[in-house]
Amino acid sequence: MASRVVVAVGTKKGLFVFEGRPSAKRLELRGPFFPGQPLNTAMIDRRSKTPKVIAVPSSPWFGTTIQVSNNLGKKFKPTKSAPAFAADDGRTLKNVWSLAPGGDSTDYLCGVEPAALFRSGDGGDTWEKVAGITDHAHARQWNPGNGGLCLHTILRHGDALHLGISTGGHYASRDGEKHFEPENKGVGAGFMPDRFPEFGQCVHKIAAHPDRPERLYMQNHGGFPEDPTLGVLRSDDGGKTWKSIAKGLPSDFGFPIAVHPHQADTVYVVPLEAATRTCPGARPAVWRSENAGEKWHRLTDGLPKKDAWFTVLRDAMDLDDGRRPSVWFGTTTGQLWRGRDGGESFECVATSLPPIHCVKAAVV
Amino acid sequence: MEGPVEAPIKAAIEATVPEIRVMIPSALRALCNGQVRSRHDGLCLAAHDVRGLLAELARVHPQAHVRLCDERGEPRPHINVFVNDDHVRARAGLETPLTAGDVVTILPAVSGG
Repeated sequence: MASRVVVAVGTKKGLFVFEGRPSAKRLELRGPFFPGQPLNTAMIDRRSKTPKVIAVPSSPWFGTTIQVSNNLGKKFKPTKSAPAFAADDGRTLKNVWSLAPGGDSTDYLCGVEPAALFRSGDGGDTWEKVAGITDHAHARQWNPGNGGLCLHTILRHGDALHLGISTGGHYASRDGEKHFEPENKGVGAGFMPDRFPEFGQCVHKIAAHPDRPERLYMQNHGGFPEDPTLGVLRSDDGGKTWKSIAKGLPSDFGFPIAVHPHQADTVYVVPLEAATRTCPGARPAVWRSENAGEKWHRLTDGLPKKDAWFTVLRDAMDLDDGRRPSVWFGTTTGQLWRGRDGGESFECVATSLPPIHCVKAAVV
Repeated sequence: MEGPVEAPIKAAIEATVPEIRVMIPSALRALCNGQVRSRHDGLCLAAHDVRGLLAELARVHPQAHVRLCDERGEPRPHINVFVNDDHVRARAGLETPLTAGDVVTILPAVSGG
């Protein structure tokens, strides 16, 4: 079968799936699946022969389910259970914010709100907490940001498993997830008296490329006029220390950060005004650096030139891994955009979806 | 271990546990093993109070229960439980006693937007 681009779009009101030939002008639209149920994350899992689209709707009424599709998002089937705290833990699951591959093809890691990590070794049918972070001594000291106290980034990279928690900061484990340590040197928290605390930062997203095991990128909570360098960061030592790469951007505030699948030093952000969480000057742009954040380029071809107050949330930008990858992003005003050739030229794929929370793209 | 006296007493108590008709939200009827097909159908469960009824629901229809209640066994925030026409909030919450013939209705709230 010829390759297909698949884009899973989680919205405030359900999941939409777009599919078509990578070069096609129009993609087939399916959905909404799980109507009325918000999704903060989804996953396209290609570790087994049959790719899976995995969705995690969290019904405000009936709680969270893990839904798996083996036919590129045509039909979904729930797993036997979703992550849950023990009855005597005191915490109850509010939302799921991240889903990532674990070890083998049926192993998953799931980050939830309130911030905690769960693992499934059987394709999502049963879940157990990852105690090293869920029961970490800091866990009861973390505080919720506006989005809730969420574990939103799970990134297996280099010799470590990296986690992003808002607001908790960056944690890493190098012993098979038994123990996690906060690694936030250089990660600022402009909203705290100690601007560089051990933990408690409002990390928005972390990204990396497998060819650069020592390097990670972070979109941190920036937007502090007195220190406009806190928001966009890079680590060159596997996450132990971080430095600002915000110079040249119109704002260091933003939510997503993503790395090109074939170019390890090419990284993307969507700067937003801190006050409004929308594009500076109401002129949307994706910013790309081809040298790991040393210099940034504004990508606007095809995007509105004015009067467009886009907000792009933390999981709402992704790149597919086609030969000439597209940048995909969704807005809280319900537009799905595709930037072909790594963002050289944008087109609006959908104009009027519900508010978009997450976008996951792959070529299968 | 139950003594020779306690066992018959327990059996007698269990024999008097009232049977309650439980109305399940339409979205969850498929999780009740085909026992609830329409809004007129109800489950028949035995319990002395609402908490016990939810525990019994967890035992016989765990997939429906997990959608209605959180990890602590409490109804989720936007789930309302009525005994006959009264919200359990207006009575004794989950400790609201049940008597034979009561109808417990579980409904999602009209929250959302």
